[in-house]
This record gives sequence, structure tokens and C-alpha cells, in this order.
Amino acid sequence: MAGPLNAAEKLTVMLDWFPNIDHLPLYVAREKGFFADEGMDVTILSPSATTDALKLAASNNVDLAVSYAPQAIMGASRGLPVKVVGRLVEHPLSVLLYLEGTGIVHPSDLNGRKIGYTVPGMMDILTDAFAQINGIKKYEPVNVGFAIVQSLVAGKVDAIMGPYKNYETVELKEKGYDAGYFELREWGIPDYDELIFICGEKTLKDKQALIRGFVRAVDRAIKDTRHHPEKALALYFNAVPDAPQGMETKAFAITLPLYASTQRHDVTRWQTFADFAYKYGLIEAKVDVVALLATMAAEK
Amino acid sequence: MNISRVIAATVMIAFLGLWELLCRILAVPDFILPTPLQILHVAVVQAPVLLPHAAVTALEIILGIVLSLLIAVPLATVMFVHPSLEKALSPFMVVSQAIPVFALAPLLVIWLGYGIASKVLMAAIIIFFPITVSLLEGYKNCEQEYVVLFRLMGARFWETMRLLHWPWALPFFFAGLKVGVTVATIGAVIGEWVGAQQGLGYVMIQANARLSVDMVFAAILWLSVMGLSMWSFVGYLEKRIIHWR
Repeated sequence: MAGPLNAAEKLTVMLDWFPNIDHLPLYVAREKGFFADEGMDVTILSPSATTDALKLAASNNVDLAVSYAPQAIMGASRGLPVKVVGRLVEHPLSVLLYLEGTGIVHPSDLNGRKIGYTVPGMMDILTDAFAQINGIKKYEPVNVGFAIVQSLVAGKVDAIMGPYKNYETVELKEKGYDAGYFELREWGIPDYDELIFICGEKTLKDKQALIRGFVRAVDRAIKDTRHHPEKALALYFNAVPDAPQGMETKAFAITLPLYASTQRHDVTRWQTFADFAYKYGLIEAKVDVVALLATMAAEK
Repeated sequence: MNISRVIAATVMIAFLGLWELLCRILAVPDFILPTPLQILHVAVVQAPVLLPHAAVTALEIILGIVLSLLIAVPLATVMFVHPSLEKALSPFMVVSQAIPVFALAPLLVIWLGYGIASKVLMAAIIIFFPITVSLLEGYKNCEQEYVVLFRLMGARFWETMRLLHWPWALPFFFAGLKVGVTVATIGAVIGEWVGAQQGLGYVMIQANARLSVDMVFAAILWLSVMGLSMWSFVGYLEKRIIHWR
């Protein structure tokens, strides 16, 4: 294996959100020198809004962006010049969250209730699809923004679409509430990659070898994390010192099995989600995912 | 048409022309910055969608203005009459402005709910300050000779307030109100960002998540139209009411 190169190439990655446990493999790859082994020096940036990373990657202002599969499909339907190059979390983390003991055991129990959602333009549409698929005939949609825990606890809404099952459940538990949730893929919403790496088309053309190396390093970091989870977590806390350690340790246990097991894209699964997105109005123009996906890492 | 209007129009057209031209020359993608013509197109075509939202935001702002007037006018008057109160209250007023409304918004939404009340209060918090401060300055600005004259002529306290201090302070009051109505949109929109089902702020958040930057700008355009109309309306009221100037 090659040692760190003297003239390491610079690569910038913008996260979808402030650094959290979902991004752990990135920090492991950096701290353990996997990126350096690929001859690159990776800078990790935080965005000010969840769509920043995608837009900055599309305009080649950052090399790579952490995005969501639904967001990438939305971008593709609007003609943004981006490619999905890698995977980070391979199933949805977003769930329909509710509090235990409020009489909700089946989606149909939400009939006539208030359902909050986090991101207007996306989660409201997913809520609508979820309701149609699961026979929730009538409900009152409420935009709760980031006030997830407060809204549920204060009883302003009965359930919320969009919170992460590895975060808000833990946060509620810490405040003394038991959270229940409906897993989207168990209730008719097609499976998708929660977190992916995307790249502007021009960046991909100019830095193909480098991007390939990046994806390889991430894959290696995920495998390493699986083998040595405690060490990986310690590295992460070292790299992100202001992370809430108690909460993130619990979140890590939930997230560990969900880090991408392979960097190969499941084209059929992507297309199924894209067709679903079109059918329920998440996107206005059909998307052919083959043009969106770029497989960068060969299977070993 | 007077010269200032000509200048305003020229500057505006030059600015928009330059924007349009630069976008085209540099081939700026529309998800980064749409051109003025694109924005105008979306603002007009999507007007049936945008106008009901604009109406909600306008209502929030107008109620915010009414609420802030109900607070600012008595507050400034009391502070003028009792200077010790002014000393006692000013730190609180300054603090109310030093807190970023963005930090306050999520709390207000939780306390007052997702409805219109939290947005009205947000707008009012922003507007009341310039009105209170300007009105108080206006009261204080009154020339001492007139106060003495009123006293010599045997005017009672409230007569002096009504016939001397209030008319004297009116131009200041309107100056504050003009500042207030132009920044009021900030409060309402931030309130809508953190929790709403309606309003131009909601449209902006939604459009941003859907990567339709042209729609975000179309909402901003309507918001600007709203701010400009309110500013002109206050100017019109000022001319009608302060007829002696």
C-alpha cells in the first residue's frame, strides 16, 4: 500500500447537515489515513441548509456532497448536472415517528389526526403518499420544521414524518418518552439510500481517479467500522469534539448496520423509487436513473 | 414625473439589465441564480399559487403593525412623561432587538402554535422598536420655547401633549413607522420558515427543498412588492395627516 503522498490532492466534501454519527465513516477514513492512502487530503464542510451541498456540487464549487436519494432524484428531474458516485447509509433513516401510549399501533390509527412533517416540499409529499397507500383517509398536515421533539411532546401533532429513527427516538428516550415509528419501506414507500455521495458532472470528468479513490476509502472505512466499532466511535469523537457523546453512542448502535455494505448501486431499486416519486408528485418530470448513477468502485 | 423618479427607474432598470446580462454571459445555471426575466415569468405564471400565500403574509404583517402600534404609542408616551421609566425600560427594549429573531422564532411557534399568532408577534417585535424610539425622540425634540408658551397660556398637561408634543412628534413617528413596515416582512417570513402551512416564507422553504430557485425569487419579488406598497401607503398617510408641512 502506498504511503501518504507528498503532494496530496485536495478534495472538499460538503455534508448534508452538521456533522453527526451518520457521517462517522468519513471521519474514520480521514483519521485512519485511508484518504491519505489514496493520495488525497479531504476537507469536510457543513452546510447552512440541506440543499446547499447538492447545489454546490452541481455548480462544481465543492467536489462531493452528501445528499439524499430523493433529493438527488429531485435534482435530476430539474436537470441539475450531478451524478451519484457513492453510498453512505443504505436504507431510509426517515420514519413516521409517534409517541407510544397515544393509541397508535397501525398507520390507520392516524385517521383524522394531526401529522407533522419536517421539510415542506418533500416530507409533506411523502406523508401524502404514505396516507394514500395506508388508507389514512383524513389527516391534518402540520409543518413543524425542526421543532420535532417539542411538537410531539407538547401534543401539537400526533406523529411526524421525516425524523431520523437513530436520532429523535434517542432524544425522546433521554427526555423520558418512548417513541414508536413506522418504517417507510415496511409501509409501502419504496426503499432508498438515505445518504449518498454526489458529484458535479464536470468534477467527475476532471477528477475521476480521485473520486474513485474517495469512494474506495469510504468503503474501506465502513468495513473497518464494522470490525472495530468502538475504535471507530472513539476516532469520531476525537475528530468531532463537540458531538453529544451520550446520545451519539446510542445513535451509533442503531446506525452501524445501516452504513452502506456495498458501493454498487441497485439500479432497479433506484428506478422504483424514481417512478414512485413521479407517481406521487415529488418530481414533475420522469427520471431515468441510469443517467444519474455512476458506479465508481469495483466489487472485491 | 419628477427627477427622483426618473433616477430611481434608471437605477432599477440598469441593475436588472446588468443582472440579466451577466447571468447570460457567464451562463449562470438557474439553480444558482435565475435571471430577472425568468423570475418575472414565474412570478406572473405562478401568481394564482403565490397570491393567496402573499395575502396570508400581508395579513400577518398588518396585524403585526397594529399590535406594535398598540404597544409602541402608549409605551413611548409613558416613557416621555416619566423619564425614570425610560431609563428602566430601555435596556429591555434594546435586549429585545439584540436577540436574533431567528433564535426566538422556533420558541414562539411552540408557545403560540403553528397558526398566525406566532408570526404576528414576530413581526410586532421587530416593528415596535423603531416606532417607539422615533416617537420618543419626536416628543423630546419639541422646542422648549413652545413648551413654555403653552404653560404660560395655561394649557393643561394633556392639552400640551395633544396639541404640541403629538403633532411635533408625528414626522418622527412616521419615519419610525416607515422603517418598521419595511422590516416587518423579515419577522413574518422567519416565523413562516420555522412552522407554517401558508405564507410566502412557507413557499420559499418549500421551493428551496424542491430546488426551484426561480420560485424562491418569485416569492421574494412579491414580498418586495408588498414591502414597497406598504412603504408608499405610509408615505401617503404621512402627507395626508401632516398637512401643515
